[in-house]
Amino acid sequence: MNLEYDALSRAKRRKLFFLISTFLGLAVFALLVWALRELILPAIVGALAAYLCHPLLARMRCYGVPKAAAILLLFTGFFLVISLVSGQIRDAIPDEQGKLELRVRIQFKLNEKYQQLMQVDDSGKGNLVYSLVGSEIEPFWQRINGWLILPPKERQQFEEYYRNRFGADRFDQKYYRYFLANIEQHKKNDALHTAEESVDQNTQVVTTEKKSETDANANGGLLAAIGGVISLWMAAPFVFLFLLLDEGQIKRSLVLLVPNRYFEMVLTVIHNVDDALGRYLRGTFLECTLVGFTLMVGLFVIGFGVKWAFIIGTLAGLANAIPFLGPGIGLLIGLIYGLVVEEYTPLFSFITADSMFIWVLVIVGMTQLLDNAVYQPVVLGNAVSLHPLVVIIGVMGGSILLGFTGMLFAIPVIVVLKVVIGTLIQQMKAYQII
Amino acid sequence: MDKKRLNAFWDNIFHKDQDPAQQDLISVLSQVPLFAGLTRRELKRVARIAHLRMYAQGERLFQMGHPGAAMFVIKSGKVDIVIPQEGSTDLLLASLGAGTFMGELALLDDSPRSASAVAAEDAQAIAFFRSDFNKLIEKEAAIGSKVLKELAQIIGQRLKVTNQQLSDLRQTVGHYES
Repeated sequence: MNLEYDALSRAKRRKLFFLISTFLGLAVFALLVWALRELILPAIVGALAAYLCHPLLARMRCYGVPKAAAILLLFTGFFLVISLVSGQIRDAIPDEQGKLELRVRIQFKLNEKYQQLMQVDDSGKGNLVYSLVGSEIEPFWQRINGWLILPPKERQQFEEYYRNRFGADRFDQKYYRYFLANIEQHKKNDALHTAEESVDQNTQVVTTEKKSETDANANGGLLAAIGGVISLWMAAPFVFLFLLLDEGQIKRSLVLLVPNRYFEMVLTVIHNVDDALGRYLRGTFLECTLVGFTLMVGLFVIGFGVKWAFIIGTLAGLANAIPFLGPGIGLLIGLIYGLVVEEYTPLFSFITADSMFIWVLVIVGMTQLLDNAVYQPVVLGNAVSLHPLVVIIGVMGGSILLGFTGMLFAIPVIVVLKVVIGTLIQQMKAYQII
Repeated sequence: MDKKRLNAFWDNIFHKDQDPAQQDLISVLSQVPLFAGLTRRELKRVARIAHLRMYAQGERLFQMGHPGAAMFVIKSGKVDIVIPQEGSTDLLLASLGAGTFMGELALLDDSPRSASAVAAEDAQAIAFFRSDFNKLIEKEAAIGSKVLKELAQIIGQRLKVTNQQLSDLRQTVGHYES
């Protein structure tokens, strides 16, 4: 038997086998990712939480806490935090009637602020500000009012609700008065912009009718949808639990696939990526928590209720993970709440409902200042840094591809790519592969 | 019966490892001087960070000049420690068998390897990656102190041998010069 020939063909067969199995493996993996794409977000959330909790687990082990007890403690903490935050946010989401009331309040308050600023009288003339910028702002303002005004069907719904609940007393109800004032304002605008408005209204009625049809269809499968979401999100705690339980088995199984020649290099790359990504994610998480907490305290000080300060702080903290856009989202939520808030208990007497807008701006501005001057340098000091242009394009690209989820995860994905490619090239040079 | 089933359920989750391959790994590690002071429980912890690798005859475990990232314990087979020579056969420094370890300095830093390791026959090696090892000794201070003490003693021992060899060499050179 020709041994040399046999060894050569065996090597060829091996190469072919590895090539085919790698190709098949990648194809199956891609298919699975596509088929289970709805599970990706819950799995990422669970994995991210586990990743953030790993140093805590290590610290607890250092203090002699048994692993099972430490994991149980972290798992309970994860569940408690998730239920507390989601419970608060769920409570804050208004029902159908609440949504109508909120729209009425926002429109009324916006018009009130606009009137205070421009002081437009019945003849259509306003103060100096109005005479300077009124012609530019007025069409924009009309459009906002057009969006906010309740369409006929919803007006009827609002009217019926108040009539059934309060009868003749409805005229004493604050939000009903807002509702009437909005309609009055709308009529006034109608008189001024009859032609434009009629087109707008027709479009709006059609849109609203279409929307209600869609809503009705959606409500039909609402229970199934909620069930689906709950069962999908059940994956998050399991991913969290099993990743915390893992003691490197996943990494070792993956490293088994690496040829001996690249073994040390791959381990070094994995370690460097893990190190850089861990620092970035933990730093970002800590920074977002600090921003959220600062905003929470600030909003509480200017008079927001504890519940709303907590909700806005949490949402703004979460949004802060999106560079540039995040602070804007926090500001927008704060301003909307500052606009509609009527019951507030500021710690300082000079804070009034009229100046709430400015105070929200001050608090968000101060939070951003603290974030840029203190939190980021201290917390993210030696983590991965990205060029602002890369960040902007990344966030926009993420938004185009996957919406809000894409915006949230664009930067971590870019960080992973940057660290993986950078470390890989560096290590390939060190190991004289390139 | 139910209790047994319940225990098995928890064993699966919390990795009460009865795997024969794992037991085999532990028995090999217990023979290695570096882990001589460790208890069986501690050896189990060390085994959890081990990577088992198979090498065909002639395959390199590591190469001279490359950054060191892992220490290797030979589980079976033979490994030659060589200095590659351009245009001629490699200079053989030592031939190591099962139970011996090499590249231990990689556990301390990533300085380049001072020699290459080549499988003289089909071999199995247990690799310990520096970063995993550092994490383990941070988490388990008792294991860390025992292993590092052994490592210091082994390096000290090797330094003594090297000094002796250097002194012998100087004497020989001096003898020839005179």
